[in-house]
Amino acid sequence: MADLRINLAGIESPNPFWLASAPPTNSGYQVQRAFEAGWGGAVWKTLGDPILNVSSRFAAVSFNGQQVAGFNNIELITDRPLEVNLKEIYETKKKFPNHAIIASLMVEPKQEKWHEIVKRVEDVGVDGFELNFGCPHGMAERGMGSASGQVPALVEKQTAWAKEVATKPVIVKLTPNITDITVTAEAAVQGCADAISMINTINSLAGVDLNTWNTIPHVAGKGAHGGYCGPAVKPIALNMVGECARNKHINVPISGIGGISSWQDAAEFLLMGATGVQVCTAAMHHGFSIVEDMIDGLNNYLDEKGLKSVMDLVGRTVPKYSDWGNLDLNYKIVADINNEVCINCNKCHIACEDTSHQCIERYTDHDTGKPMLKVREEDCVGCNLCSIVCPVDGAITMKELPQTLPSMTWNERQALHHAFAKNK
Amino acid sequence: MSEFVQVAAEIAQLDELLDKEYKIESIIENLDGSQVILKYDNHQTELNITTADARKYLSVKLKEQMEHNL
Repeated sequence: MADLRINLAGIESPNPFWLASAPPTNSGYQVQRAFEAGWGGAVWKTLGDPILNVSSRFAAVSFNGQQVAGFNNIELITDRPLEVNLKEIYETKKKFPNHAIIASLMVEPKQEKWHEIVKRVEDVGVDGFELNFGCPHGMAERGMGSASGQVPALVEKQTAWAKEVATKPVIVKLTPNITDITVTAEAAVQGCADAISMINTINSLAGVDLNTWNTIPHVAGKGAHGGYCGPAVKPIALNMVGECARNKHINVPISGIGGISSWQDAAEFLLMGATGVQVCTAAMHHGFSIVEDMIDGLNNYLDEKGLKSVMDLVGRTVPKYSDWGNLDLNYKIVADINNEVCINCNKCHIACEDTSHQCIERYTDHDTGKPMLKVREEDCVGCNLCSIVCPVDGAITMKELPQTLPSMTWNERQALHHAFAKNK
Repeated sequence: MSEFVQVAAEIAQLDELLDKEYKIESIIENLDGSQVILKYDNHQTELNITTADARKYLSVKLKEQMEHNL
């Protein structure tokens, strides 16, 4: 059994699985049930001036039979008085002293507001804070959440204000609704953040009802954009975590968030540089008990890899993540079709013929008379499309070809051509 | 036509000139690919390398020439 404990900027937790600040962490009842189920930590639903919510609040995007491929919400931060939340945080921490409780905070971008809430919340024994600079809906219209999280100077300033009074670690939660998340991540570091977390939800509209022409969701016939999360956003989140992890100016731990639904997803975030992960949509879809499989699966994986601690996994893929210009132009893979397994559905042929490089040929086997497929390797560019659309495991694999030309990246090539032109 | 046939043809053209001791004199990259001028003694010739794989090959040959000239 590997050691699953993590230490994220001084916040200790029995495992890397935290519930993200969201409806699952709205109350002490819920967080205590989550801890009993096995979650290592919880980021309490964002505290601030209690808001008023609307009904309805959630919508999901299903795709080809997969329920909740994406999830959209227009719910705001807590609608309960601060004192009620603080009482429940205190009781929960007392009952679960070894679990991490992080208070998510959101107030107006004013120094005195940050000082007031940090001081009041710290008194009840939280292990850390998470500054919510990410919620894209509702609160952003009032200058908070992603509205302030999109302005690097405001991220830096508000982080610094929280840090002026906080004695516990401060995590800054970043919005993905920005061109380059490393800019705001650097601003958080400049403001002396102890850690960063990402991603918050992405601006979204789940859909439009084709009968009523209402948006989905709608509130009495009117809609407003919400925040998108769930499995569909995982690739976006994973890239943003990786971009921050490999940025030498962002030298603080990362809490990874975005579509994590399984131990495999969590392991991917850890490999890309996250010290721990936060989960919301999967818990809302399947309940708190999913953490059992996450813990077991991660434990088995670490054992298989011969790793004693989950911390040994953190960031192992980061050195392999680079810019496109550093990729080898002369590395080549091609598709390889196993006709023993192929069911001859022709999806690969159609995909290649219509939308790629026309290198999969159909032919009839002379001996058996069976229709077959073969790849013209010299024309295959190794795009992977045929293996992606193939419905049968093992029917198409991508194989590496022996390298006939020395490695050369685009950046090396451009430097070479530039030097040649200059010398001439 | 298979693009590879065109790639092979462009590589063969380049190799043929390099085998005859032509040297790459200049490369201009533009919307049509790489326009390459090669020289050998008083002879000069121009090649249009248009395919992506042949342009990669050209860069490898340019690197070899530059390393050889060091």
